[in-house]
Amino acid sequence: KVKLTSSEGTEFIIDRKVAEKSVLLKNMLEDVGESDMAIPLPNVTGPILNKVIDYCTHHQDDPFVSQEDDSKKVSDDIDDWDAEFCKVDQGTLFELILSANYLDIKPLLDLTCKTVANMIKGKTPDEIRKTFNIINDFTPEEEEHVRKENEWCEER
Amino acid sequence: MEQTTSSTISNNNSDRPFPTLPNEITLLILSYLNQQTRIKILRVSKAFRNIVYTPTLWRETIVYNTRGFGSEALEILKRVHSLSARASGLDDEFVRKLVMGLPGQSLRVLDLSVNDITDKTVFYIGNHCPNLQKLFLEGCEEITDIKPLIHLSTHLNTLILSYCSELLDFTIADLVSPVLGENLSKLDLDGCHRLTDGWVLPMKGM
Repeated sequence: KVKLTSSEGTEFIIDRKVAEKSVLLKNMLEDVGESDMAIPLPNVTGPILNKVIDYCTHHQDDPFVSQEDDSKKVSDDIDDWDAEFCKVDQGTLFELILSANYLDIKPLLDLTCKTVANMIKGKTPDEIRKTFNIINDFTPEEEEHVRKENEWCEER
Repeated sequence: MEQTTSSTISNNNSDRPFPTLPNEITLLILSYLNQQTRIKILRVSKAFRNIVYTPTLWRETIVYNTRGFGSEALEILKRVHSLSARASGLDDEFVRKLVMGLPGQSLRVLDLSVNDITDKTVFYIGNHCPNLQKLFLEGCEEITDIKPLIHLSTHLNTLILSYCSELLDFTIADLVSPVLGENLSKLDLDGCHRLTDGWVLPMKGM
């Protein structure tokens, strides 16, 4: 068993196998060996850590895949459990991304990034701004210039 | 008097398309988007434009026409592996700009089929794209001479010249000779009406 504490000091006790889905924790556990000491995770809040543990528990038996960087990247290969897991508000989704990155859980990072990519697909620039609450800092002339300078790669 | 110490170079929050995410994560997200979606993202904000112009996102690129193609485009395409410009209306001058503006090392696949290009373009490609593996020139009806492609012999494995109706015999002979023959596994000369039976001979074993 492994003990983790979230940023606000909540303690979580999980199987070592589950914890080892995180490369960060795996390395720490290998360095430290068996220990009763809780591992502090000051960058991760309790609710997010709870979600991350859910993910790692569900996927604990998945083989470790080292993905080729050049392989074709698709975002429509998300299974039902994972899709359901990502049905959270945007703030939570972004925090999950940051935690997956910090804890070095590659499949969770890929999943959450794909989910954001899917939120972008099929939208106009204006819809993308609305979805992510982004301010348009282009003047209309600048925006037109950007559109023009990329006409060569725009399908019509 | 200038205070430059506190400003970070690239990962300062206003440079971030998503203020809460570091740019390397945003790049990961954008790597799942195709070219048409990336074009839309470009117009969302200045930070998005800047990050979408990261050359690693443009390894596979389709050129649809020549409008607006300039120095920004060449900058984006610095790392391009596969470039398809089929029936995009480009000409010799455009290909010269493209091929000579890119570090020729990166280009592996080039499709210029169905364009009004001539022997000049073949010359540019032969001399500036040393790592080219696949070249598509289907229906480029003005090409007569493909000898300059002999410079590509180390990597070229696919050469599609179908319906290059003006292509001349003797210019192929050198290419299919033992020098190139070794790597060239696919050569398409369908509809090259000016070719005679003479060229077939050196090709046995391919």
